[in-house]
Amino acid sequence: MEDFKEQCRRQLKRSLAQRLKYGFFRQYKPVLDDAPFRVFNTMAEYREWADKNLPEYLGYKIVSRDENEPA
Amino acid sequence: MNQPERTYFQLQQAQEVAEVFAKHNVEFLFIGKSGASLLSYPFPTQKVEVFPEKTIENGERLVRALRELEFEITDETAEQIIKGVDFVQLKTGPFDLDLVFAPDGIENFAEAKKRRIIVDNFPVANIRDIIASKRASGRKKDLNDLPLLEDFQEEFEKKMYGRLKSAFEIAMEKLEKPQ
Repeated sequence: MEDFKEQCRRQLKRSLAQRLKYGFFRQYKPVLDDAPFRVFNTMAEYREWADKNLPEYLGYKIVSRDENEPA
Repeated sequence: MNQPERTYFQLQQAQEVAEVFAKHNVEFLFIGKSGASLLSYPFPTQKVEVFPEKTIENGERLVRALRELEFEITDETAEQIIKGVDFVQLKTGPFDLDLVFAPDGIENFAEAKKRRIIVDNFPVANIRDIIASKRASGRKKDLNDLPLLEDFQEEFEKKMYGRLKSAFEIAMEKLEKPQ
């Protein structure tokens, strides 16, 4: 983790332009990217949709609903 | 309608978002990993997530701003944004954008705005709020991110606020400088 903290310290010294240049990327995500837009009335509906419909490896599965107890 | 070419989020687009949202007086904060990236979190992400204030007026301003940024917003979607849904995912513009009107783990927009951090004209949710929303989501990918985000928070706050004083140091200062 010390390596990561060092990485953070280096990043904190970089300009916004440099941070943005390497901060974003595009990669196709199945199902998630297959509709032009989606609207959910509540966050619970969105979480439930993602949990049920997205491939597990994308990481959207709900593993803990307790804020204080990360899984 | 011809859709603009979609790409990953770039500096010029970030500046356009800040300018157009400001022009339309949209109340919003960058949030999620995109917000953390603006704060210097050194992990890349794909989409831009914003936390707009959930009011009818702000929804109207937001729709106008998004259309100016070349997001294709149908009248039906515009109505839903204005009436105040919790979450909208847009892939009809120059970059992927999530509108998160009610992020988990954050009490409300006004409180989050008080704690916001401005980075080169970008209003960004406080790193503590970003972490709180990740923790409250309960999703595997967000919980996996937490240890790294917490390490980043430590380094970020050291840089932002300097080393925090211990209770002993604060007490000694008070003794040395009586009111």
